[in-house]
Amino acid sequence: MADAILPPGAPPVPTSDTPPDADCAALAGRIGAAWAGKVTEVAALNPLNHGIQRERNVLVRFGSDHRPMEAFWRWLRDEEKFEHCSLVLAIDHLDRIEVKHLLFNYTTHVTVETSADTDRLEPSVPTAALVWRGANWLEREQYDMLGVDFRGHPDLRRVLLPEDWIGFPLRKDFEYRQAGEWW
Amino acid sequence: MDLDALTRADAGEGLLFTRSRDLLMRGQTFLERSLIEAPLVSTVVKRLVEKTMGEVLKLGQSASMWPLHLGIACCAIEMAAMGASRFDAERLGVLFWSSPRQCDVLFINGTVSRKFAPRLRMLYDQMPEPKWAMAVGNCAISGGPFFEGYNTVLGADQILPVDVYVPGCPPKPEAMLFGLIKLQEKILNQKPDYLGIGIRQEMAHEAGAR
Repeated sequence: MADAILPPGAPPVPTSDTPPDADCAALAGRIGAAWAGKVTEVAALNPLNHGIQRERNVLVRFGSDHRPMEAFWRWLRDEEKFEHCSLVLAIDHLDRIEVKHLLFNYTTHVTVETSADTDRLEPSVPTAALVWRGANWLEREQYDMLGVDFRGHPDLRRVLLPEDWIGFPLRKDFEYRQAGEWW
Repeated sequence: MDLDALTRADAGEGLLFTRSRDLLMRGQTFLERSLIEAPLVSTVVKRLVEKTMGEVLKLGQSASMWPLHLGIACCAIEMAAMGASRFDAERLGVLFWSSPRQCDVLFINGTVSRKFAPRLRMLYDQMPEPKWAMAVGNCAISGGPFFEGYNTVLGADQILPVDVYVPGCPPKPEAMLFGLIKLQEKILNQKPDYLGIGIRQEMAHEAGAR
């Protein structure tokens, strides 16, 4: 499991010893049984205790083989009734870019996060916008900020920055104002 | 009329609004020079209006400043508090209005991003003369805490002339009221400028018209 990039002196990432609850473990078991060999890692994460609502997260890691991702998403939506794509993340790890889709089930309140690693020079992962329509703008935002090309996305344009913007500002090597001060 | 400014705008500055503004400026300065700057007539008319109507018009302008009802960021919350019953900006004649065509004052209350800057300039251009702009909060003055952001305009005065700066993050409603009172003083102390000609000539000078 890759370590997060932390600045020196930053507090450590909080961890937890609490075992995941039965729903998460059962779901992880089902995913592991149905998708063995196609995913590199399935794990029900230990929930952090926020005191309000306990996290129920299942991590599914695909690595750099993206071929089963769309089939997995469709299976997750149709068989496991994950109705909602709540967040799309992209993380610049300096040697690769990791793209995460957070998928949510309203009945069991379990979140599945699928993680895919992609090349940093030409980042490209399949799109979830054809499976969950709500992923459309979330993926556009990640394209805007980190330049991830979501293959098959119906409308991959910039959504936050000006249309004539050059560069991707949330990359680690982006120098601010490298696009030029035009006033 | 020579077309120097136009050709300069064509050649260099790539902003969307530059060319249309320059066209407008050329037309206005040409009209003003031929009509108002004519000798005798201009001095007589100017002095007449200055003596008779100037003070009254200034008093009216200072007592009925209508700001554009534009909220950009968290300073807009303080602006709402300023307009509400506790601080009651309306006793100064401040009435928030939702169309720039009837407004006198532009409150810039928040970070001006590079995507928003042309839109803000467009709003300012849509306001009729005479008009004033207030930069409220550190973001609108200099970029504020987002100074090193990739998308921040370092102060609203980079894109339009600002009359009053109200510092704070966000400034208190009293500070905004104080800024409005300062703006009233500025209006009352300025030379009678019943058509806003001075401002426009100044801006035309900035744009390189003459």
